Amino acid sequence: MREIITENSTQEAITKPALGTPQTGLRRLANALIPLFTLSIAVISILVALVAITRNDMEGYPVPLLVAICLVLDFLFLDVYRQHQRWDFQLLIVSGLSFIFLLILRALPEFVTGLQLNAVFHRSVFSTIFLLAVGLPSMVSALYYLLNATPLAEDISRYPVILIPVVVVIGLYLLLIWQLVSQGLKVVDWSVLIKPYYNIILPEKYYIQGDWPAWRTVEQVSIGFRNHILGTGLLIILTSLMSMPIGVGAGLYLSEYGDGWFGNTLRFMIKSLRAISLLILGLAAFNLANIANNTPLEWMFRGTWFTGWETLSSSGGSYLTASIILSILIIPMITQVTEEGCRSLPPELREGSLALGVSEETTLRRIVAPWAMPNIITGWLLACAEVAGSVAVLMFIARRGDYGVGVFKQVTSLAYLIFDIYYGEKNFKQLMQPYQFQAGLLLLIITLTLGALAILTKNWLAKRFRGM
Amino acid sequence: MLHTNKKWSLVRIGLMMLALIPAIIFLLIIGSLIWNSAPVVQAVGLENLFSDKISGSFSGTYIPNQFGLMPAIVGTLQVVILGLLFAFPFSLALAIAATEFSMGWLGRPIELLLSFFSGIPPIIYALTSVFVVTTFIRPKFGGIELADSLIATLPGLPPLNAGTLPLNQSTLLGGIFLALLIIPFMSPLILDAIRDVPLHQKEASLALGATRWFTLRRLILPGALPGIIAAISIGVLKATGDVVICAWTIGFIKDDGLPNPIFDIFEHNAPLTSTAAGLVGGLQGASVSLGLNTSAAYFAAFLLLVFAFTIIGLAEMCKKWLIRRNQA
Repeated sequence: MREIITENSTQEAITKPALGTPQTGLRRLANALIPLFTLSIAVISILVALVAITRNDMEGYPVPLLVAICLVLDFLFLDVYRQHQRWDFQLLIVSGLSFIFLLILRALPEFVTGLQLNAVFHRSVFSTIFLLAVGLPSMVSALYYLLNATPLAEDISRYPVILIPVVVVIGLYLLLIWQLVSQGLKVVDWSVLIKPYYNIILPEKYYIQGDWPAWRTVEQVSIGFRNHILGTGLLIILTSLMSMPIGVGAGLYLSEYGDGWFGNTLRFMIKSLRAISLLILGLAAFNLANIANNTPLEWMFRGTWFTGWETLSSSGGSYLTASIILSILIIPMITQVTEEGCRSLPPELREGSLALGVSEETTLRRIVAPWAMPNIITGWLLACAEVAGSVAVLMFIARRGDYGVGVFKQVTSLAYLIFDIYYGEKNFKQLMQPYQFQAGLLLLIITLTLGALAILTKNWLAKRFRGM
Repeated sequence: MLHTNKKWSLVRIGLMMLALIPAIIFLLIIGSLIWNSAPVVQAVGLENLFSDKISGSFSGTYIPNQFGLMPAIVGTLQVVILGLLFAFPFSLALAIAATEFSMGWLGRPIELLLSFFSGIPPIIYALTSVFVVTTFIRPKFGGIELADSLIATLPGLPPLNAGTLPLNQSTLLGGIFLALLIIPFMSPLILDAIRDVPLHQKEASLALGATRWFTLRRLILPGALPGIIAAISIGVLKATGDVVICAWTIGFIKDDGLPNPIFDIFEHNAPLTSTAAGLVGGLQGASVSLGLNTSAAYFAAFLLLVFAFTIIGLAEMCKKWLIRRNQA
């Protein structure tokens, strides 16, 4: 066997100049014909499977494709023996599998139920799974034998296995974002951005009805989310004011002095604060607003609204309450990025500063803190995006927010608005339903802008503060 | 860090005060959870709390003082496992595509895209879930009468009665969107773990004639396993703690007992988070209810906390064991 192979290779080496001649070209084409055919059928079946995820009307394609795969893999099996003297039983297994899938698919009715599951499956669910399960391995094998079964071919043939999921998942994200954008731009009404929402019944005219005095009322409706946009901004500002000093201070402490057991305990607690559920923070906000109930501090934490003739305490919470709890969400993020920034300081800089006789506090202020500054600013921008997008914290204390924006007013935000349109009062829902996707688009723009700023300014900030 | 003769400067004390604040808040939160969940444990007992009967507002029959959280626990396990099953292969593929199989140009765009996607708030995913319902869930799992008629009524569709077929609320939908939520957080961690495998090991493997695929399977993935486990634990924490997506795509309270069969992902098996949110009931914009309902919600939150710390502990143990085994 060994001798034969060496003979072949020497023959090939001798006939190498003749590679470009039409005869060898034709022969190579003939050798590549069956793998190429398998590859094309596999690609078609994967494409059909991917398209059929969202469509029910592609029932004609799976059965012929499965038949084709079943047959062509057998031919490939023989062809592999002819070319490479190797029995590749994987091909036979996949071929048999596609035959079994074919039988199952023929036996299934169009709509399937069973196992007491709460669903009526369409047949294309199974055909999609079958096509993917058979198409991917046959695609890999076809590519492998198309490229003459070299080690390099093994690597190249695995590219589809890696790249198809990547394309699918990134496509799914982009598809969802595109749907949101197209739905948001469908009802373009820019006036909602500057109008607040209210729907109140006001007395308009006094008159006598029979013997009784009466008011003719008029319903005043204004649709818009000015208050929600301003509220998001106010939440970002308040939360930053509260969490930045604490977060940065804690991060500096942990990096400078936090190597003992005390620092480790603190670090563990702050990390755990990041790991707890957002629901717990929402309940904490609810708890804080409830604790303040019927105390002198009620106006601060409960939030007030002005009805036109008296100031009432709201049933939810104020912007202050919300931003206190939101800063619990933010502080661990800021602490972590500050600590990372400080730890990345080259020790020479600190030692040089100390060796020149600079005091420790000044070193902290002039050397360590500027070095950590790019990390802190990037982390702050990401934290702002998180504040703008968080609903769970506000879920129990936010309301419709038709009475203005202020530190002690009842809290609302753009993200909560979307939730409220889905689950809120019937009247509110009816009025705001057309603008739900516009609000979503606006929120997406705000958060993605903050995130993009964080990513794009990273290098510039490093240059500005670290001089590199 | 490596200096200090002066032990207690003013700056140090000030910074320590600031660092103590979040730690104290953490203790306060745990304390408030225990303090607030005590009344329901005292009033109805643990047996009631772990039963499968819960009084929700969705079924007509309202039984007072029934707070069985067993359906919620089952729902949490279902949706987290489902989300992880969807998310893990994709995030692994993203990480491998960005590092090993990238030919040098795919890595940077994938990282950039992932960091963009990680900034998308959960409420946006919840809002876009309607497209997946109309284009995937209803035609595929909704039966013939829904398949034809409902594609025509795209986005502004009305909420339909759940309970017969998986319409706009099911655990399957929640799993898909939790997967979308956690992929941008899991994938960069797996990516870092793959990058941290020592370069000389890879080079030795390639120099000995192993293919890249073989190196990936036999050397890089086992070497990156501790990092992958850390990534999975982060994903599980993120998925367990999410409220908005679960409330929107699965529902608030499952009040008709355990799912039957137990793995039925086409019912609306609300997890602990959204059950607690439903129990507090501050959702309708009406006055919030105080009392045992809220206390039961705190108990659910306490269970979530226990779950989270169990996950963290298990992940740490796994990591340590793997690192020790790799060294030996």
